[in-house]
Amino acid sequence: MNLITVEEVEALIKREMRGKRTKDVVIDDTAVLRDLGLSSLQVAEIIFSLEETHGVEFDPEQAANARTLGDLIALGNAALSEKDKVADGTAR
Amino acid sequence: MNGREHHGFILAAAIIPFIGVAVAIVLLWNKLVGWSDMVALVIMYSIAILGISAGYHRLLAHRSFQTNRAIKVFLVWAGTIAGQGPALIWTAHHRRHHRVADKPGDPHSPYLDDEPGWRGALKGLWHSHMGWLFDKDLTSDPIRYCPDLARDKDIRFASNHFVGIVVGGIVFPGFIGLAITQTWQGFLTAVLWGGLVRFFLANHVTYAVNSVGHYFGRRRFDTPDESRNVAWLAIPSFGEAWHNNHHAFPKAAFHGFYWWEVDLTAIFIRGLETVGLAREVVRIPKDRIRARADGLSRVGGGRAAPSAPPKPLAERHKVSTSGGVADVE
Ligand SMILES: [Zn+2]
Ligand SMILES: [Zn+2]
Repeated sequence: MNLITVEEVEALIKREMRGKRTKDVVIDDTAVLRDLGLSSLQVAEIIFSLEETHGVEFDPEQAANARTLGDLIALGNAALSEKDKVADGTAR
Repeated sequence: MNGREHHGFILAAAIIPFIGVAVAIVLLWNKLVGWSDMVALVIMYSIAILGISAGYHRLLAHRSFQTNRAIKVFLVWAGTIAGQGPALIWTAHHRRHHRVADKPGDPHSPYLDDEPGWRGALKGLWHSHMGWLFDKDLTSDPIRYCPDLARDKDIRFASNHFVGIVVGGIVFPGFIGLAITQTWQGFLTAVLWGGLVRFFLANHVTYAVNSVGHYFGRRRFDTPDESRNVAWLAIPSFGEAWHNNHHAFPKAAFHGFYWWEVDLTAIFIRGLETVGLAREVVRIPKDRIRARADGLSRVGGGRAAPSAPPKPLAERHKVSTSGGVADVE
């Protein structure tokens, strides 16, 4: 299964910021989405691009409540493994 | 756009078209205006208002009809040209407006209730008209309010290229002027009329639906808000001013409920349907309209009444249209 990685999301964030990102911001699991200076539109772009590349659906309510980058990635990967189980026929 | 750029855009969108109108009045005074300018104004005004009304509002925010991809993209771009905000932000604010209309949390209610008397009334009207746009703390998260729309790549694309499309919509009428007059002066005056004057007129008409449409006018239905039907705004707003009708039946594709309630957007949607370009056009049966109108005399409604549904789309797991709960999306 093709999990979502921090590097992948970092690339998406950089694309959204178009090089305007201040150098002292560290992008890792613990990075707080709000502090990265992303607008709600930019966060939506990142979440729904991830959905498209991974063929998975985030739960919108939980995605809207995600505080850190790690929260968001965990959410996507949980949905991914759920989808995998369904594909294997091992779910429920 | 980040927060600061957004604020800058709102300021520019309020001031530049206003200056444009002032310049246009001076030109009018000096008879420096041609019919090419009026053609550019009418075409661009119609595109922008239809984009907001048929596109942003009825197609996206309320899903009151379905269409093909080409028409959808056209309407979303046309709505973007109006310069009232990216599609995903506009629809998020709008769905939130319906959910808690004229109650705490409504992004643009004229009832602020922070001052009594006419001063408070004027402040509230200004807030609902344009003031709310300048509130930096006011955000409606598209992930929360319109995940269905944010999943659509075309809608995200138009939202992400908002400023470019708006600027394009100001420059484009210049080519209408150039084509008609074959002069660069004709280009410039058409940009002024079709771009800036149009921007000013169309936006104030939409904003008047939010301000006037919740303050002055007639009520037919017992909605849990102060929405009104404003007859004199019906034609310039392309039917959006039948706002009490709309709050009573948010999913209806047609906001005018009787033949005398002129609704140009409804005519447009019906035209699309006739040629097979619109499907699943939401219509409200006449007996339901009558039954709901009878309720006004019994219970009254108004902003003290409880609103429904109370939760954003993202927080409702199974959306139900039954049980008397109005599903605004
Ligand atoms: Zn309203
Ligand atoms: Zn509406």
